[in-house]
Amino acid sequence: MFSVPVLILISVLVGVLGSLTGLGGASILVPILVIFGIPMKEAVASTMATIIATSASSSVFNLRNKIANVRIALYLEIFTVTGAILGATITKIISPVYLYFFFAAFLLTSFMRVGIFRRILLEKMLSPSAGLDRFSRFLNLNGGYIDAVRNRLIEYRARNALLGGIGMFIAGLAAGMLGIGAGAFKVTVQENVLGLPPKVSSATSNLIIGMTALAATSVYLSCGFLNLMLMAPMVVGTAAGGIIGGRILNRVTDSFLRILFFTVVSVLIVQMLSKGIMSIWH
Amino acid sequence: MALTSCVKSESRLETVMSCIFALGVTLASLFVIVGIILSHRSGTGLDLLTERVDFIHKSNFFRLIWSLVRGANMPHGPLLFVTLGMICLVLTPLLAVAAAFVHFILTRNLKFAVITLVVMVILLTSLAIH
Repeated sequence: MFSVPVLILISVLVGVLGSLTGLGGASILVPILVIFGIPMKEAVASTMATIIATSASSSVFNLRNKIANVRIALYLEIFTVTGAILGATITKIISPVYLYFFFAAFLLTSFMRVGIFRRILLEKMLSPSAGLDRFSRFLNLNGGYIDAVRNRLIEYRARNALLGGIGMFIAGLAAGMLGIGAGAFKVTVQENVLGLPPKVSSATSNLIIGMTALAATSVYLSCGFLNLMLMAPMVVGTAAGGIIGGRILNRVTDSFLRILFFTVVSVLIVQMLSKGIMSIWH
Repeated sequence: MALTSCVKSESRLETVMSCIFALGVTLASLFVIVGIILSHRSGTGLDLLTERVDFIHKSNFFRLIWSLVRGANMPHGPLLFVTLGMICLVLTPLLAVAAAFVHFILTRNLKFAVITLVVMVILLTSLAIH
């Protein structure tokens, strides 16, 4: 039976899993809600609101520790917010059947973060040695933070600002359409296109995700897809799960995280594809 | 040197934004938890699939707040608290962006004041027109 206590429990587990894998809660929650019979559009809209909670709670620490860069976040926000509004409007119009396939396809981009995909697709295309372009120089998206592990100031300066903006527009479009944060994609763009350090990319992406979700939520709010009683337990559960996941992250090995990441993403892709194919048949 | 002054000037903004996020998410969680408890105690709100939110349909965010202030066409009991939680959640990033705009104006960083203003206008327009 799908009830409030069950959804809170699922959301806590998803929060832990999302925090460990870096996928965030929504990418895992949408397919789970669909399994429990929640209509795809309602699932997408309701998880969108939970992303704001997850983003806000993690940004509290990232901003306090000066890891998230507010100026870079606000510049990239122009692109992600526009993309999210467009994406949510597309979801409002199109048949939910297409959403299953879009969801599966976008989950595939999570693999861009790791191994051979990253080397082939990004590192070879955008050489880190490339100098600053004029637009990046004009924006002057620089920053610095104290790395607690190395105990020294890490300074950085973003490059390829325009290309990064286009990448973030695509991330926003997917986020708005699918009710996810698209965190893995955003981190990849920031690390490999803008050339930001991994910790800054992760923290800034977390900050951006909340504002992107806000833009998409506004669209879903008016069309009545937002189920508040569905959203409520997820907000509480994913926030708690995120905190637990953050605490145990340092105690698990990298190889365990990699296996967990591949397993979770593969299961979700298969689940969304099978749901899409079943929808066409019926 | 330039980086150090930049980091120093923005640390105040980061502290303010951090406080806004902490306050917003705490308030939203509290409202939502109260809503869930009330829903559980009334014994009617545990079935998630039957709970609908018709009062939101075809209403934009600001109209929703206005009806809440007037007390017209609004839900009572658990759903009212969950709605308040949702409103707090939506307002949190919006207030953070507004704080950033004020900071950039005060520090005369016009380039980023304009960028922040664009973000704010897009967000406000989106909340107002949908």
